[in-house]
Amino acid sequence: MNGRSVPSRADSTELLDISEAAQFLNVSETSLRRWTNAGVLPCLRIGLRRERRFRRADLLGFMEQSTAPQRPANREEDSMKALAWKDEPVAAVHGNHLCGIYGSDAGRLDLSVPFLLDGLRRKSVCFLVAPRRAQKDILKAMKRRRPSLDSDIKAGRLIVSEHQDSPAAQCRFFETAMSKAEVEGVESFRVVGDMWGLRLKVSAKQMVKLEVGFERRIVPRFPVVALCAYDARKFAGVELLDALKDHDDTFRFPMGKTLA
Amino acid sequence: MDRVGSDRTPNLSEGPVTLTFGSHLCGLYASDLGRITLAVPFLLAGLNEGSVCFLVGPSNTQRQALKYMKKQRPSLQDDIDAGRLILSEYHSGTRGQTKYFRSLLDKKIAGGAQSFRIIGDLWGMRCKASEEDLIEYEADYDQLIARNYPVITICIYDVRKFSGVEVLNTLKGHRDILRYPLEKVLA
Repeated sequence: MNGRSVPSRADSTELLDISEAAQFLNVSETSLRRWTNAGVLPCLRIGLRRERRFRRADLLGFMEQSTAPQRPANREEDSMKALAWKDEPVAAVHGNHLCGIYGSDAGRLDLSVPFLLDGLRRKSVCFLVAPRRAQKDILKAMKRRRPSLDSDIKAGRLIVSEHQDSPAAQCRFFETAMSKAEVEGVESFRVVGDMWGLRLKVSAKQMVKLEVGFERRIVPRFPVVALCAYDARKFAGVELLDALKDHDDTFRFPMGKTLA
Repeated sequence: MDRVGSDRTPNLSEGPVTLTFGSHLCGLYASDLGRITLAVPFLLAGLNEGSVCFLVGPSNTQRQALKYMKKQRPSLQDDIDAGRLILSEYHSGTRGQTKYFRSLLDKKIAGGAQSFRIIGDLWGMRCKASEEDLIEYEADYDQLIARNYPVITICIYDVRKFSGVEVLNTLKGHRDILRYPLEKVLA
């Protein structure tokens, strides 16, 4: 789904422990626990400690299920159903200001890539605001699914930048860019912000100012759907709680859309 | 820092939220007062509706919650003595905790109880178990308790103590949270 190579099919009856299975699928052990607990990925439980063991065949089957061709478009009526693999986009309802939280680099891609690709397909002007390394990873994953991405960037359909130095400057950036785009006929916008990029420049309290500023100055004024992505490995629990409090819209969507 | 017992009266109204059996919510709090705003209305509503209620957590959590509850419900000691409000700390093993709940819930149902509310302050378990064990516990609880008994559950997490990744895992383990107004589950 994100361009990962398909592992060898050799010895499909082999049993892998959770660490090996996580490496095999290139996901976290936590995700594996969650999927097995939810019943979407089969596993065996062995020994007194009921440790998980995975058949390679089951892992391959799970991976193939998740990379199956997409259903046809016009899936908005289905977009609220939780899937084992997060390739369904968030429902595009203007005014949504969502909080996504991820715990791995793969998780960041799972949140941001489908969201931005769906925006480009819908002819929205999309913004990716993130530190350089995150930009690179996300763009690489997007290019695998949209080879014309460079022309989107060149044509101004995908705007890539790092965070500005202050919340006020960031809001001004969006206002200027979106106003200009609207004059040119653009009818909708999507924004992905990888919020660690701002946190590197401002305090936790200032972060709240951006979220509030965005909610008050950008969301009511422009037809935008925004996903603020928070890296759980970097933000403290208290900061994540503040982030969630600033994103009430998040809690009307299936969790699989906003946590990875 | 918020002081429990200060003159700031928490909003103890349960509001328009509809809680149904099988609901397994998580609440996040960042202050002692926040913990009270999550726990107290939930338990008082349970007692008012005739449910058997469980408050599971460290002793200071129990103490603070009881102090606030007594202000609203002077007969609280009667509830405790009659077994309508059950207080306990977490068992040292996650399996032991699940077994404890099942055993007590079965006993109460045999004695005529028809509904339950459980609130757990999960730092009490995290002190005794690993991060992975806690995830497993929540999954087991969801399958064995929350979905199998006439119970409404809130698991509350002190975000001052849990890491960002643990908060993320918590949210992932509580899908039900996404159908409720934010202020009901975050404090």
